[in-house]
Amino acid sequence: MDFDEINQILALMREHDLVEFELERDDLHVRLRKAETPAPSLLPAAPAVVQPASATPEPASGGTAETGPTFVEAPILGTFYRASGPDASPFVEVGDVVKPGDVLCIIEAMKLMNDIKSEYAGEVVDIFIENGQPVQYGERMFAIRRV
Amino acid sequence: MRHYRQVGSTNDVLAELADQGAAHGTVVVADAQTAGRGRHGHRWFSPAGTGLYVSVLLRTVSAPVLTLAAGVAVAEALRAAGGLEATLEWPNDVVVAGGGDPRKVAGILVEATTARGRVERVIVGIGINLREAVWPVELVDRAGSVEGLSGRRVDPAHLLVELLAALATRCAEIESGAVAGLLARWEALAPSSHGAIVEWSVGSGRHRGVTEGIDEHGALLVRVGTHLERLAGGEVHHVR
Repeated sequence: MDFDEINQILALMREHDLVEFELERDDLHVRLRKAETPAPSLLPAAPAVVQPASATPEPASGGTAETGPTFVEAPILGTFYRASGPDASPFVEVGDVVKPGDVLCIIEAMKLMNDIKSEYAGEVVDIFIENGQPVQYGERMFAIRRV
Repeated sequence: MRHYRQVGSTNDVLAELADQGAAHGTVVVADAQTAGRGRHGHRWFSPAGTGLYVSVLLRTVSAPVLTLAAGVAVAEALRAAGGLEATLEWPNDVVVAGGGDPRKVAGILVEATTARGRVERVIVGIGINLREAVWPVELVDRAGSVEGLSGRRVDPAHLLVELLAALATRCAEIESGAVAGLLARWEALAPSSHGAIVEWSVGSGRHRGVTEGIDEHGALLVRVGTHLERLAGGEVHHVR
């Protein structure tokens, strides 16, 4: 499969407003998925993590293509905290390696303190929100390079 | 329900039980906490024999309005079992007038965990000062106890039953999606939700306005000049 064929699939996805496309043929496996753009809400809903590009071709099985980091987005709106208190160490710093279930941050809404756990194993390569700042639903908080 | 003589923190004990699969509605009660916690790393002074320290596990209720429901439940329990005119300050500070500034007699710490965009569980932690204690110096001007303010000795078991019943009622309202009664009750218990001066910070900016009730999600509405601000988080201070 070459880029022309991938472009044809992308065109088909746009034409038919498809969110996801998956193809398996012999030893080839391709999946394309559009990022979602959810509406703001006070209540948690929808996935916290999406792929960075508008449609990211995943490498064929056995492929070695380099993929970008995965972005962790805010599942609720509220106030972003990097630590459990002013004197506590941040849950994660850039360069830290995290595993699924590790707490990345707290988002506070109406004094409901919500520990946001990582879905992925990998290295934290960027933190986009400063401690104590408001965060919107769906806003990028962390970039994790998955391992 | 599990009762302990002493724990580090009832929220932490219940979080461990939750990780092991404890059911919705599981309750942890302790006579004393050695590491009682409030928000942002504040500690909650929890000596033996003077308070009620309880945490409740919720798996089916996660809307932020839950924090208002917890405040309503505590205030109603204090009124029913303690004869105290307990009132609320947004969203869930439980205070009682006691000569001078209002005294804080109860603290609420609501902690959730979210993974894969879904709330896994919520723990509502509540500490109530039943009797006078030798308060740490930083609390002397702000803390109060049920007995100290009402002159009545309250049966902790009675208070706990009233508290859990009130909390269950309010959680059922949230689950059913019919929160109008909860919001109206909260406003009735919170005289400072109308016409009180409050201050809050956004980034480095400090703001001030006058309260004008709450919206349908429980967010505080504040009049700033001609503009109506909606506060859904952060620290709000009452200017006295």
